Amino acid sequence: MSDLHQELLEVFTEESAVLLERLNRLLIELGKSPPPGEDPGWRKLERCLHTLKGASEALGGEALAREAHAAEDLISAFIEGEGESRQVLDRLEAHAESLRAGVAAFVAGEEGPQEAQTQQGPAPPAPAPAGGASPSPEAAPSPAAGLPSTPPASAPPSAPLPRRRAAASPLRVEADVLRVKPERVDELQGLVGELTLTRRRFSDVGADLAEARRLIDRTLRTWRALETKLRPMKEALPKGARWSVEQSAESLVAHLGQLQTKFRSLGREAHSLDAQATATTRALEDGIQELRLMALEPFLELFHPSVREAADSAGNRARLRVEVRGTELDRVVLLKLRDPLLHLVRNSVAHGIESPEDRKRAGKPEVGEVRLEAETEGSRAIIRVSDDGRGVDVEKVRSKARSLGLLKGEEPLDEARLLDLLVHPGFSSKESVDTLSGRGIGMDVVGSVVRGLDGQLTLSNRPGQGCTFTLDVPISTSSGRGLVARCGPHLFAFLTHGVERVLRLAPEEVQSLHGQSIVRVEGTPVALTRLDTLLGLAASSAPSDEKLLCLVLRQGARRLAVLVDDVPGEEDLQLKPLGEAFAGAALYLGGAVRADGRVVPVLQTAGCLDRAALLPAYVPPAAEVSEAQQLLVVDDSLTMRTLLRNILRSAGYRVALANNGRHALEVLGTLGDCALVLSDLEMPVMDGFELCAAIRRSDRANLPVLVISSLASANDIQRALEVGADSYIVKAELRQASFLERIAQLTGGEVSA
Amino acid sequence: LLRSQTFVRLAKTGGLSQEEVDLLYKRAARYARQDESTEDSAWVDFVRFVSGDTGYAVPVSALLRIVALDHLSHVPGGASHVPGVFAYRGEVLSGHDLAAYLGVSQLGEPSWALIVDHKGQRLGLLAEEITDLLPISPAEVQPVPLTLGPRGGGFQGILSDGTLLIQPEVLLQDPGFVYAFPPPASP
Repeated sequence: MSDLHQELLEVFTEESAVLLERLNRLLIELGKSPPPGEDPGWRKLERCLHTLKGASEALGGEALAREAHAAEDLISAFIEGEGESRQVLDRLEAHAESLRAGVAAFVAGEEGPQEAQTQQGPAPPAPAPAGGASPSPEAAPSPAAGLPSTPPASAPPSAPLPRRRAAASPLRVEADVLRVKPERVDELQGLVGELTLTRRRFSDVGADLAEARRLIDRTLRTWRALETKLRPMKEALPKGARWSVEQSAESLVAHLGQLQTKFRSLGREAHSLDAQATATTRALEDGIQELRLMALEPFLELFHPSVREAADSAGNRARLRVEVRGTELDRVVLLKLRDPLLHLVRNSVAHGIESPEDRKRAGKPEVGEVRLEAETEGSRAIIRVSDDGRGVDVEKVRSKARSLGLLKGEEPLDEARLLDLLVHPGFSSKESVDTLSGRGIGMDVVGSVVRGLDGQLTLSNRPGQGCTFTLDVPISTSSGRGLVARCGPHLFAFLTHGVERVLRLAPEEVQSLHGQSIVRVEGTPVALTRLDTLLGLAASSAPSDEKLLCLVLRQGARRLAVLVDDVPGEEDLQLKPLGEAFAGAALYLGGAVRADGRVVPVLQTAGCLDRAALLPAYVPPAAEVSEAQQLLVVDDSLTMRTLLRNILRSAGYRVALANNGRHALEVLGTLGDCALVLSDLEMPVMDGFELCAAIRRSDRANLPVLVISSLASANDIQRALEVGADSYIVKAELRQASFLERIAQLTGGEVSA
Repeated sequence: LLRSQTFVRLAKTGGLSQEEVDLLYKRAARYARQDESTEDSAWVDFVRFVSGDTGYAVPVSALLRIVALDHLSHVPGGASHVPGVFAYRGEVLSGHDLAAYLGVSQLGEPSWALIVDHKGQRLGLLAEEITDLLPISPAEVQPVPLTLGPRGGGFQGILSDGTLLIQPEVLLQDPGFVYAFPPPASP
């Protein structure tokens, strides 16, 4: 491909994205209340298609041009009085879908410059089926314009059409829009960050200058005092010598005076330059920050086709309503939220909205409504996905949770517990895969993406009337106000929205409740742990008679008091990713670079709360430290984890828990010592075989692993032993006495129960 | 070799027998100097550094920059060979300890970070000391000891003094070296 063609293709990529976005917005606008042919909206649509056709033809995208041309003809005919507006719009939607897929394929080089491979064409002339005319896709298309999606399989190929002359200037880009690649903005932000650090160092130089000036002032004063004291001695000197001393003294005073003046002027200049540089870098930071922001409304409007397709697949009727109150979000946050929002929207249509008949019987309108609402509150964005369908079927969830061993008996299911179950890995994935045509993301991914943004997901369920999922996320992941805490020689930061308060406690205020250390915050017991224990650092030795300093972390109803050594204060944090190496670290949001060039790892509140639930209880320094051995239990079944934990605790072991192999490696990293890992084999994310192999490759290569699995075949046992397991127990054959005996053998301890 | 071939061509034109030509060819080959330009092209410049008590060398071509390390911020919980992060030109980069990766020795206090970049993968190799710039010819390179196991794949060889020569295109593609935590499963 020639450089010129490559350059044209890049321009086409940008222009087609703009045109497809405009096309989508116009279709949405016209679709709200389809107007007659005289409405100027139809002409705008026609012009948009015409420009896209011209641009496609210029690059040899014949199939794309034919598709756009067919849509153009359809509009022309409608303006001339042919057809009914709703049907025309349905057919135009189908054309728009094909154009999106066609552009993506063309840009990706899947369509040759002259030979079109896409099979696009006008939608069938027959009336569209109820609930939307888009033919069912084979794969769920992405909501974002320009992203690849599979074209409708049922769309017949276009009939060859006479070629029209290309538009006069097909590759024109809107003059008032400058398109910059997001990576370039990231780079610029990095450089601005470095400039800010340099500026802060320059401020330090200014402070040093002021200090030097004060030193000269003091020197001059000292000299003047000394000169007064020396005057009688000078009188005693011979005349020539006295003159020489007086000359030297005058010269010294003159030089010191000049130095004083020079430093005063330098100090004033430095102060003024610093103020100017501070204002400029701050404006630059704000400007770059704004460049990263994207409007939410057009982004959410792109979910219309997904609602239509989901309704087609589910055989019901639904429309999307978007309500946004002037909200802009960081591009990174938006892109991370795209798949979770798509999942929630499709879930609402597929599982929430009832069939038209059922809705009629329930006294609801036949067409269900899915609402996407967004607003900002300070530095947070609140996005709600709701529907007016049947709501979450609590009994169905209960029954499935029981079958998976996640629930016992008639445990009450409030909304928080219901959501816990829905986002549990593996709980909803099967349905999700069916609904999302193989996209493979489930509610667990929705939960983990929101948590990864240091956000919060909540559910409000109204049986028979619908449900609402609320996502509370930061507007930006690249900056925020943070509280810096010291733990031994290390500094860590929490975003302030996750810190409820800072407490100073007397050691006697730490109480014990069911074997757990707690502190009372306004009368409510809150679990207490040390930050070094939470992070797996060696405990710093704080004297036990001193006041304890702790941060009370809060996420929704969950609270945790975390003991730290010091809280140097609040700071504005510019967050950067910690790099590829830490991409899988669930505890960290990123790192903030301070003025001295030091990076402060920023911790994720939700991750800390999750981690604390798995750790051994905090033991106050005055209490006797337990000599019990530390074990790690890894199983995706909550029942199995609880069972094993209870047996092992009652036998005197300290027990940490993990729900899959990857999680186990993370927890292991936080445990100072560990005598044995007890692991299941079949688990999501990382299974027991992989875990064994990973432990053998790690710096804990000699750590014994006991596999406890329901797999009983000789092959499975052999495979587990080959990848590094030391011993194997089939779950069905688990007996407490022999089990504890086996553990004692593996840990080199004594059987204690 | 080029000179020898030229000599043979000239000899052939001088009416010598084939045996004489062969003999002269062998003599010419014995006394001919190696073509210096060819020899030079085989030499590769490496920067040698010390981590733990072991010497390593990285090709200059893979190096972006060497920076004095003022502070390495500890990020607990990950693999021991990725102890923390540091700031570099507005970015945060992970610091990787080869000694801990190979399990051969303990890294002291790192004073330097060698920033390497392979296809956009940018990270810092931690070093206590930068020793020298070392031109190395392929003839000096011995195979990596088998006992390093699969992790030896990240090195192209070893010098007689025990310096391990890094193979960046392999080492920086090895998830075991790059990641401190298992990477998140893609949805």
